[in-house]
Amino acid sequence: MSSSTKFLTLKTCDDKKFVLDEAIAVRSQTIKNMVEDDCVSNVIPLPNVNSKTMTKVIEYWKKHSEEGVSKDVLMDFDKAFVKVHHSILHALILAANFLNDKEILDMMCQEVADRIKGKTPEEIRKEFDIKNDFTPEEEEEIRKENAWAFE
Amino acid sequence: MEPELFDAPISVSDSRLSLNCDCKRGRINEVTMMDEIGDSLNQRKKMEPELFDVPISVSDSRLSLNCNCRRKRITEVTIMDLPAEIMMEILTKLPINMIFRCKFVCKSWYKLITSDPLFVNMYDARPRKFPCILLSKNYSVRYLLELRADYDYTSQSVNRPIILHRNLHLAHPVDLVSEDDDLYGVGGFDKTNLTLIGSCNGFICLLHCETHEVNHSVCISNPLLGEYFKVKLPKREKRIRRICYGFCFSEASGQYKVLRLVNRKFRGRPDVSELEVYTLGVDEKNWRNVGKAPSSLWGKLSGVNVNNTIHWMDGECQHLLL
Repeated sequence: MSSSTKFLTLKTCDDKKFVLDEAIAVRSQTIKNMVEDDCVSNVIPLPNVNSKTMTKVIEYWKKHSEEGVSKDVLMDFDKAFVKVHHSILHALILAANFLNDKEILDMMCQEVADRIKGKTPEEIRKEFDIKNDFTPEEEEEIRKENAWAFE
Repeated sequence: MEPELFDAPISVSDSRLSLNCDCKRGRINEVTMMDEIGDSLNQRKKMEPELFDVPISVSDSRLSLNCNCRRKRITEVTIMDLPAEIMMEILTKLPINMIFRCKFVCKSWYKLITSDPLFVNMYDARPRKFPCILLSKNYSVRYLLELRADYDYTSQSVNRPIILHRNLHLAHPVDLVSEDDDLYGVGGFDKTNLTLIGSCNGFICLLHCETHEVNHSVCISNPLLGEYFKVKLPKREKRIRRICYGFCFSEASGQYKVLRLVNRKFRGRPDVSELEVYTLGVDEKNWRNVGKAPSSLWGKLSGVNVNNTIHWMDGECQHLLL
């Protein structure tokens, strides 16, 4: 690992560049591996992440890298962080998956699960804009099998 | 209000205001906004209709606009875009009765939950695992309850224990037709006649009817998936006096096994108990006889499964098997 590289430049799919402290950027296992394998040139391309999503990720990384932040503050930050529109939430999951940041990935998956929780299938479809591709007969069949789940 | 140049087409719907943009690029989302802003926007719309051909966006703390212009949709990620592993990760974080509901949502979720072997493994390996208990009523297994701290058992119906017997679609044995139809559950089997043989790794092994009955059956169920299958039992022998069953998982071989202790009567000789093993997925038809066992084992108290070992009680001591 070269110790001279203090800052990394990340380039998102929409050609926006982010200059970031290496110590922060290596929260991403993907970037960390690249740095450790010494295959970082000037710019790290992130073909699967757009700038809007990356801004959120960096916001999270920075907050969680700050020194002297109390647990409560971080918890409040996380709570606010996940309160985003579905599309951003899902984009963040994909980004966290690509960047291999388990912390963000877990938190976001939990948030999606929380949004599913307590809803009926119909409400879930509406919430996430999912098309019901069962035929009425198929649906009736599964419903019969699982009638107890709705009692 | 100081509107910026919009960067995406918008549509606004309000009780007093309805405007649809002519953007041919795609579908438009419904937008809600506060009334007082509505008016000003309505005016602007009249004044500069051509603006709406250009992508626009409004940002204001009191107002949020979403647009689904196709250009934007390319980058908009929906829950259906998430890879299967991540979707599984999400689903495994749900309580089990929610997982059942998710089966209905769409075909791909149904497939994910019911036919992906990875799902059961992941569910089993999830970090926030909650113990489940089986509740019995009238000596019969009735409910499965997942113990979680966030359950409110009194008010939320979704968090109530799931009723197990409905989930076991045992075929209705012809001989079991009773005059009292109320005794039979949805699957057509006697609700009061299901007892637990054992459970391990999320599978439960149930006994239907008493072991001395000719038509008793043994089934193994994964209550999470709502699946079960019947274990093929050997033909009933007349000289069998007693049978008791056990169910366990052998970590060494990665196999599930059903054990039974069979006590047979031989003329002129003392009772002999033998242990027979049925390995799931391996023994298609046969129960392997693995040798003699002490004859005084208790049937009713069988099947405490600890560390891959079945502990059976007899009068004096414990016996460790497998």
